[in-house]
Amino acid sequence: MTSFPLLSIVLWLPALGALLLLLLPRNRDALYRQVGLMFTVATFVVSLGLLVSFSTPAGAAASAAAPPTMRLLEQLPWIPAWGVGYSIGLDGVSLWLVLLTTLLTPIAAWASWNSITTQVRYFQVLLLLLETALIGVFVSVDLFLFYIFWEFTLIPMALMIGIWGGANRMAAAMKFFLYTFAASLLMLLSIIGVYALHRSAIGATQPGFGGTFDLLRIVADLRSGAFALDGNLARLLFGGFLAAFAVKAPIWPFHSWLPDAYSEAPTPVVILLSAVMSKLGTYGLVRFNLTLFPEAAGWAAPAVAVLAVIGILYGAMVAYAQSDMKRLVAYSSLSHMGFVVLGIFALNGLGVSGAVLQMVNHGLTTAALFLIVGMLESRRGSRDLAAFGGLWQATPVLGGLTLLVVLSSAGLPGLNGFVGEFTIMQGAYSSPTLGWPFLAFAVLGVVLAVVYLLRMFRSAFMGDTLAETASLRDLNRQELAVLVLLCLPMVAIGLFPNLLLVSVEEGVAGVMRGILVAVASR
Amino acid sequence: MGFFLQYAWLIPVFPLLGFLLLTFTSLRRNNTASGWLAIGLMALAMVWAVGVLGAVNQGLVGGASGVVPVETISASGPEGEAPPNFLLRIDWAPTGSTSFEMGLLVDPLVAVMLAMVTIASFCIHLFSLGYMATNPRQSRFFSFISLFTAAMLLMTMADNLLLFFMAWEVMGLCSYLLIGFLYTRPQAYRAAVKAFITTRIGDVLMLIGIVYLYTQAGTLSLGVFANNIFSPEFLERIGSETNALGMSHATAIALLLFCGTIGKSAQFPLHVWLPDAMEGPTPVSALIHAATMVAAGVFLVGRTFPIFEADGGAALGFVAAIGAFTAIFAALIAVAQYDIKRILAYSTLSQLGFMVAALGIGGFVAGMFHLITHAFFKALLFLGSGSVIHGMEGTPKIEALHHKDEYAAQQTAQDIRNMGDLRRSMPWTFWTYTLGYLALAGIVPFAGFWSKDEILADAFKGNHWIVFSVLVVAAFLTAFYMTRQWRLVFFGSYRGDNPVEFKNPEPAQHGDHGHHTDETHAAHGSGKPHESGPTMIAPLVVLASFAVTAGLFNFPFGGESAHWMGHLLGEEAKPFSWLVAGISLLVAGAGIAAGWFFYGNAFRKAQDRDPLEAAAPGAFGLLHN
Repeated sequence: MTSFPLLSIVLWLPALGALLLLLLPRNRDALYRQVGLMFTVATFVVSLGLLVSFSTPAGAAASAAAPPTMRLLEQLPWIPAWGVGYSIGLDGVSLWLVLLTTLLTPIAAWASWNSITTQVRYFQVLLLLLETALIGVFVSVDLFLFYIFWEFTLIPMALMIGIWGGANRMAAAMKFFLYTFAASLLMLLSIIGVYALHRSAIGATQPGFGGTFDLLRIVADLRSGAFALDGNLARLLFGGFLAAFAVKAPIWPFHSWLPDAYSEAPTPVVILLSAVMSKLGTYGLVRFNLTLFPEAAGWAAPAVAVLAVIGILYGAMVAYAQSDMKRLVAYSSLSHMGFVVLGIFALNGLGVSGAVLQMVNHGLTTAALFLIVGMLESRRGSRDLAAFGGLWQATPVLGGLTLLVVLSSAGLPGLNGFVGEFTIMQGAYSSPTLGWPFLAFAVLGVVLAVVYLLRMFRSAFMGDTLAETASLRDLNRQELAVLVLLCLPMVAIGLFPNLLLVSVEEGVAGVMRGILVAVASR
Repeated sequence: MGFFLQYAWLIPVFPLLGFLLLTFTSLRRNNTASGWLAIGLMALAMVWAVGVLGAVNQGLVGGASGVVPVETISASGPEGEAPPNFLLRIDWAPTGSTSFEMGLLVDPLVAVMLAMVTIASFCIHLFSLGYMATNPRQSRFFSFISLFTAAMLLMTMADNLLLFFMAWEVMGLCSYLLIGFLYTRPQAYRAAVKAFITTRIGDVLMLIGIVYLYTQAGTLSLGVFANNIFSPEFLERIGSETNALGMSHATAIALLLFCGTIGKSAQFPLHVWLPDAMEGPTPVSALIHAATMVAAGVFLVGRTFPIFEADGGAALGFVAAIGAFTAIFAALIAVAQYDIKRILAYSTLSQLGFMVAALGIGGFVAGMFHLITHAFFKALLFLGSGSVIHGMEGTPKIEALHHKDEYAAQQTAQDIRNMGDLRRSMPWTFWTYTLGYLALAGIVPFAGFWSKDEILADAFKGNHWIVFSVLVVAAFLTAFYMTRQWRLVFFGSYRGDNPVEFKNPEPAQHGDHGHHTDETHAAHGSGKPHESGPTMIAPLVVLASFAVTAGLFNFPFGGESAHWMGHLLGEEAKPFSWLVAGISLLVAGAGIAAGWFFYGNAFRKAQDRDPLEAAAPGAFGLLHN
């Protein structure tokens, strides 16, 4: 099975498309769009093949000290002198995030058909490059490779906001770039620190060991006791990773780039920014902070969880005060990502599984919300709530689907959001480091979510029909198909969470083996 | 009968199928066809549920593979507890080493509820066909009430608290959609959002309770067996261990779960949403806000009763206090209302308080018995009021107002000061309404008498003197305000030719188009309202027959067949108390007499003052708001 490089194909197919686009003749906008959509759809179809390898459960881990079990592992030496390898693999945590990326990129590409009308070719190129970079972050199991992909996501994203964004696009793009880039540098220092410490620790017993950036090797040594990361130095390195991920997610108070970037970015970009890019941060927390630094994670958990809870409440309250729908969804996104962070720092299997599930859920829901806001904006020429009213009469199908998405975001049982929130709540409640006060505040966030989301729905879709909105047209076939494509998994996950949770739990178990040892020894 | 039990899982599937067909197929464009489809599927579910009740009554037990009589099952639970009559489970989500199972179950309590819900829902579906006939979104309406019924049935049959909660929330969603059904009116969407958010506050606290329970028990499955939340060892443990706040786990869990009841059954202090919820169409008020959803909160306490009992009385004391207070508080407010639906809404609050109080003093069977009887007669009263409103809306005065401002017209049509003497023009409505009224007032031999009497008897024999006296006063008030309403609506002289017109503070700019088109009412010429059509009268007759006879479910006399429901639910029958029955009857009679005395000559014209307002303007004004 491993001989066929399926994962590499998924990873590089979009980049191949980007290359092809550059070779096409000039001034063929329609063709560029078709090629872009074709390659993203092809990537999605191929990525479904990844599920096949997860159809059988992995055998029990060899021992409590085994590193996370990766499937479809591909390892090639790349810069042997530094111990850098091209190693990519998938576990239950990254699988669904990769699929989320490959599902949402074609939708973003489709959304760009109407909203991106200038320099079409370069937009499609950047979109495809961004997809490769995003998938690369999720599948890298080499620290150096991870960092390269991580930084590379930044460039297309900043360009896309800066070139095709709204009125204040340049400022928003600069702010976004500087924030995330500065924080990434701290992570680079941490990566080098881990590498150097590991090399000297192992080199002491194995002369001639040249060092490695291979995550699995480092984790294996950590768990077998050959290499130890503890004390204040470990906490400092932990902080370097945390800084990069906290800005990306973002965790309150590192969110100040978010409202500008989200509201300036055009619809296809904001879909990827909110639905996928923010998951890079929370994914990193699980993959690196929890796996490499179980002890430091336990030490920092209460503090980070407090920030997460503040983020939940702050995001919800600010969202309530917004009249611009795009900003409203942006702040609701901040609130929901707080739940994910809370689940991660519950530091138990339930919490982290719930967090991973909620990453996927939030991706689907937020993408749908931004898509809907984009549709409303293109119809009405405004996204101010005051410009809408009684839309349900003019656009009943859009109204019904919007209600479904809103309820999914509000965590209505039977839809996906509830399963994630419920699992996270259970995790937080039974957590070794958190407890019921965190649960109580999180629950307050759930109530507030209902308040601001229903306020948005009520203002736009209920009440008296305004003269200006009475003639807006309902969804056409394409729009309906895309929204249904997003809504189906919401219902499916809500009714049968086992579809995801089985493999997620397996992946999380690989992460948690280290935490359990660390918590037990405290 | 066994056949019905074997496929008991079909019961919620019928209305769910109705919802799916009416939402996703082109049937949604045909209002009449979708109405009959929903009614037909509801009738199937009703037949099925009654069949299941029969099978349970015969003592049949089984699952999806077949059913056998309970005597042949050798493996019994602790203390000889029988297994549930029907159980079907699937893996739902893995949780660490075990997996979370979800399923459906039928035991006697569930079977009784299923029969009640399907019968009430069927009657209300049928009624809606006539009542909503002129609404262009009638198909949507049927799809919503079908989804609601499916969720209610699913909740009733849930074998674990998580599925229970999921269905519970879907009901909340349907309530939101249906209260806001006329969403172009500011009053309607505001009431809808208020209802959703208020109940949601209770719901999330309940969710914390569920999480709490899960971390303690490692399971949420309802049942007395090992690895169920009612296994005796577990109940004993949570009853004795205390948490960080110094109360036992059982108390904390029970109180958190009870928060869900407070929200859903609109108990004080989360009662504020229910009166406003009357903005929804009247069949919605009857189905959701009288018969079924609001009773779900009471059902929750009944379903998790062992947890409430596990701590030795602390949690139940709180439950009884909330219930008794709501019973009298809402009854007082009902005295001072003019809107026919709001009177019934406050009456519902008060009656739910009776049920909650009954559970709080340990009267499990009495509480559930009252839940069943109340569902029938209150649905009847609401549908009767719908028939009255429908008639009033057809009168020339209100028709004229209707063209100017629809909302004001509706409010004027609901004002009891504008009615009077309707017994002559709407005889069917009058007689069925009268039966419901007598049942609610607690007059022998109607259904409400037997169940209310049992609650009072439980309070009396358990020496709960405060609860007993509060409930007796509330029973007096119930008879009083219902007599006031009944008298003003059906007797005296018709006052609708010169009505008290409702002043709409925010008149609609466009009105909701097409609601009650003019042709429909072209036939109404004379000044007085007309009787409603047969599809609206038939459900009234069916429900009225239950309002008369539902007392037989737990009838205290009759030798072997006495206390049928009590036996089914496995509780020892208590002897009938002539003393309590006498007190209860006396109080009801006094309430009726007082109501007749005060309102016998009141309101010669609509603009008159209420006699109580004349006597005590301050208190009346306070209660009116």
